[in-house]
Amino acid sequence: MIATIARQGLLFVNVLVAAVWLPMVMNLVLDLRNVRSIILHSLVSSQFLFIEYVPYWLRDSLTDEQPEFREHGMVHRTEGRTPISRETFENQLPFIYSEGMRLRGLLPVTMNGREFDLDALRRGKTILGVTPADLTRPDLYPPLHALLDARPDRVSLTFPEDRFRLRGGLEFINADTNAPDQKLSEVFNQALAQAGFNFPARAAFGRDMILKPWDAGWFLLDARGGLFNVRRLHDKPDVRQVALPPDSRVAHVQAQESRDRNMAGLIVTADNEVLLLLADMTVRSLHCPGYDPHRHDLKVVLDPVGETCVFDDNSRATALRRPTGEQGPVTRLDLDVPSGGMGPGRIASWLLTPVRLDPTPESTVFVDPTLSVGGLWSLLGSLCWGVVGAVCAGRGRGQGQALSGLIWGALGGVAGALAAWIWRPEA
Amino acid sequence: MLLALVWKEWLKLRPAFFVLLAVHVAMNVWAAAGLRSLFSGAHPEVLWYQTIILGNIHFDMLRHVPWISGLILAGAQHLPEIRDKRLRLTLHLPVRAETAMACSLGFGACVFFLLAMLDGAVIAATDSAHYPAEIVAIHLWALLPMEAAGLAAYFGATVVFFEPSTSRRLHALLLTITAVAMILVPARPGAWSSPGALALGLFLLTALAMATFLAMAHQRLTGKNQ
Repeated sequence: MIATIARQGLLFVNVLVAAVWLPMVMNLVLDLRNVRSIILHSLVSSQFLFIEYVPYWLRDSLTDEQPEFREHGMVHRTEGRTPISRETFENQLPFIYSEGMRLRGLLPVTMNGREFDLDALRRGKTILGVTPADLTRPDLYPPLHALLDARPDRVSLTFPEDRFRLRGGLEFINADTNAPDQKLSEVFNQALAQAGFNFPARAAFGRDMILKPWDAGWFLLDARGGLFNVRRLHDKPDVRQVALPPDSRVAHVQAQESRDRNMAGLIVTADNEVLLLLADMTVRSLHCPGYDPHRHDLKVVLDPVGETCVFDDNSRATALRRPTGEQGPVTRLDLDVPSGGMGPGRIASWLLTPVRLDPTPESTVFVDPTLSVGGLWSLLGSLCWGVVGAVCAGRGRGQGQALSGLIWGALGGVAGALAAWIWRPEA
Repeated sequence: MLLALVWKEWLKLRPAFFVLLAVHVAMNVWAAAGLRSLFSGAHPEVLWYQTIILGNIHFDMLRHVPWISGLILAGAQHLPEIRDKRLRLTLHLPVRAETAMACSLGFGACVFFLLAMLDGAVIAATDSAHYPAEIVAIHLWALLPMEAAGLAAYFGATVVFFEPSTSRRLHALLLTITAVAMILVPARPGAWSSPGALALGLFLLTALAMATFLAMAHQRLTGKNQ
């Protein structure tokens, strides 16, 4: 009995490790990279432009005039899918490639009747973003947050000698003494209470680094769902409430201080809405229908005349462009990511390993084993290797072993069937 | 009889245990001295930042010590058994083979636990002097997969030693290597604290521990290596 349980346990371990390592080996050997597409909006040509990686099994479709694309597979295209050269692509995106345009002598550039020089282009671009892993980060990182002194007269930011944790209110711990600083904690908690903060604090969001243009402080979620901004100015608290729209429930705040000091970050609500958080603690709704924060990477590109929201996963990318001021038509581009599709290599991979296990998925910073299957090809692989496993393990050993071989072959593919045969009981 | 079996296991493990104890103590002293040196040469708030945000751990030199310890313990404990048909003597003792195996495996695992507890205790003690409880906790979580890899290496090596069939032995070796590599996959400190990761780790260890009984059963059936 113990031997039977042990055998089945060992075969299960075999399925798990094969589901982790075999696809990884196949990806390396067969060059099954999954490269996401990059979509940007051009003010020069008033259209979306994108870069996509064309995997080797689709490169025959590229025309002979673009031999360099056959080498690396990165293709620059207009939204009508017309291939363009890299230089043309860059020249149509002055906010992103301003330095390259300066070197080519193409500045200043005129867009929408306005002239932009290098400095105006640098100041005019703001890119904010949030990934699914960002949402899980606060649960893993030790909850000790540095409240920098955000005084505007200081040249650069420095770490304070203390960090705060949430213990109902804020509790500051001094790094020199490794002990709580009761006096400082009281000062900040009193300031929070005066600003209308309802204790206990439920979560803290911020950007815990000094390599940023300025410090927006920390955003604290109170017991009633209110969002408060707390900063330290000359070692004194400065608390402001964020003006959230009614019925908005904050799920995550991605603090990202922009270079022009106008933007403090993004807010993702429990209803998957995205709000732009301005430096004056007001918010503006962004147009991102279809965005799923637990699945998509989101990028928000702001320029002087509009905003572009791009969200994507490994198989599909979507971009939405809306003129600033929430006026005018919203334009949209949906793309399938070429390397996310099935090719001969990927089909072979799914046939050999019908079930995959990813211990470190992109969607989280935790080790979180996640199973995935490859649809029809997995089913076909399961059937094939299940039958092979049943025949190999069951021959001369009875129906019980045939069933075991069928199950482990179907789950583990080639590795499962082979292991069922190797570990079948003695005749 | 069980006490006699435990005594036999201790006699086999004693030299390896004291060598490994010395190695673990030396590595922990190295890590503790390194941490002390860090705090004497840099601002504590910067070191806190490096630990909290960058995920630096001062005891990274311990990463490969537990799995090597597991291999050495398994070798010291089980290689003598499979040489010169000595295992036959154990199998002829007036206890069930499974009981003898459980006794042997349990004792080896306890010895490994002692070494793991030493690592954990020294890290917790040295951390507590410089870091708040949150960081101490995350460091202990970071140590967990390293020690789990050691236990997996111990159980897996035991299967490899006891399994009489060459093909199964090779497969068990491959499974052990891949399982240990999976537990040691690069991840942030504390990343193994998710329920799914803990369930996976626990299952791997349990299944590998159980597989030693399967290898023992094969020994009895085939009579090889006895």
